[in-house]
Amino acid sequence: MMPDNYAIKPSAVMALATWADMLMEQRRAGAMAKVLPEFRARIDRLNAVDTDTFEFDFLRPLQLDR
Amino acid sequence: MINGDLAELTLAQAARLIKARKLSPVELTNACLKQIERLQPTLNAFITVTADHATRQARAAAREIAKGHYRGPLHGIPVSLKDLYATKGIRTTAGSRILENYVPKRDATTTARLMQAGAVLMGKNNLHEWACGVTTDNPFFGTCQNPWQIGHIPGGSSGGSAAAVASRQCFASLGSDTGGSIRIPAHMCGIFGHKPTYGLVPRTGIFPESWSFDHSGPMTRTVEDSAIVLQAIAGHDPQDPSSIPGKVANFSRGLKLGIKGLRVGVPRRYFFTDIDAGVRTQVLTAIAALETLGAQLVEVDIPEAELAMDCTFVIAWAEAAHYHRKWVRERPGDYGPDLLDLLQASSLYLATDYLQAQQVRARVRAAFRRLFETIDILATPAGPTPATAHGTTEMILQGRPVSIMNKVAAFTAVANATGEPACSVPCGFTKGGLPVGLMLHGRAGDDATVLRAAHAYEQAHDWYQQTPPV
Repeated sequence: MMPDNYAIKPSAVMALATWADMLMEQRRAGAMAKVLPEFRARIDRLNAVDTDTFEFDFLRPLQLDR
Repeated sequence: MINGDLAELTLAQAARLIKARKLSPVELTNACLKQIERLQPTLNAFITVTADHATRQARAAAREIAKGHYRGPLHGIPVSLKDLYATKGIRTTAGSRILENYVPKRDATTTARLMQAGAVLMGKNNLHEWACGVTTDNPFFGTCQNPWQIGHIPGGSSGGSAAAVASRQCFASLGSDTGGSIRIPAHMCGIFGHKPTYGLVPRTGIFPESWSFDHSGPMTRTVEDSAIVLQAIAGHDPQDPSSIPGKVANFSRGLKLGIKGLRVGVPRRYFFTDIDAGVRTQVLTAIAALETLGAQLVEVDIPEAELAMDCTFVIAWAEAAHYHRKWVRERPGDYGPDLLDLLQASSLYLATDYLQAQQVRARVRAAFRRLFETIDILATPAGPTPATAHGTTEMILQGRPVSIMNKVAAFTAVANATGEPACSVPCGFTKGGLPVGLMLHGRAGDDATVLRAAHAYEQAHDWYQQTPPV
């Protein structure tokens, strides 16, 4: 889990944006750096859910049992 | 009363008059065009008004009906479409700059089905840019206003559809719902909105936000009206891989059966914490009314509901980022800044994040399947707050600031994660005069029971007859 003081630096956002082939200005990288910890927290909450003991059909993820 | 009696009719009432040849589609269409002319400068519910097209369609309908060729309850009825639905020969923008001059060569399947049923297209409704948001503050086509209180959002992303139906500019509209985009604006504008079972209504020709969360559905003033529209648009479409094969139920037939004995689940946790006091009061009063009407209330606990919003944010936004990836890279300046931020940030989810979210989503769905073995309907608020003022990014709930984007769809997104049908039916007003919606959520494939329960509640009250003060 991420610590309370978790932070992402704008320079890290710039690196991520380069990796993802996205145009990113320094100013917007700063704004996104403030948003991404919330994204990280969301992923941490999902990763905390036990899915190892849950049978899931990756080949048919959207099938609705009716 | 707005524009005489005609605009106050429900779709079903207008249809009965047209069938009996006591009302001309031309007269009805003119009444709606007058409403649009009067209200468009204030509400901005439309991106494109198709007045000439509507007049031609209305005249054609009148001629057909006069010759005895009545097609059914949508024949000659003025409707609108969220500007996400492809319309042959009519500009379809998705509320975006990228598609601002796009004119499709084909209709969406649902557009074609409405036209085949004889509906009259009044125009294309304003929406949140690319249907990716809840305010309908569109950076390219202007802000859409809530007809109950100018200066407040109509909700979104189908905000123009809800504003147009609520203010009697048309009798029905089609919206789309990825995390609540039919039910949130229905709740905030005091109309009825239904998100059908995933796959019941085909999405061919509707611009996607998220393939596994997107639904198409009707927005009307009454439940009966939505049942009529749903009947026309539901059914298998081989062009849509998510479309359910098989026979479609009759959604109008059972509406009047009432709800005696229906088991209605009431989840005290999650759906009733961190919500506006006025919304809580109205929804709890509405749930008590369901019991008075004969339903059996069952207190339920469904902790998995809390996981649905996180699943939605990861899956739906990753899918949206994938759909937009080329334009986001090549034309970032053609997006509004808020949406661009979200799409770029959502591009950074890992594939493993997406897969974990899909697994958690499957757990949520399994939990709801089990829940619906013990109840028939789940009753909750459609949203945690009534409409907020334009420009508001945070709201205060229980004394704490909460992001609107994160919270507004928290209740509705559950049924997008599960694919089950859910609606918002008007259940009163806050002390400030803003509408409140009761959400009724049912088991997959059982849209008819959701509509029946909503109809029973609606007809025992007069909320749907209230007219906004514009």
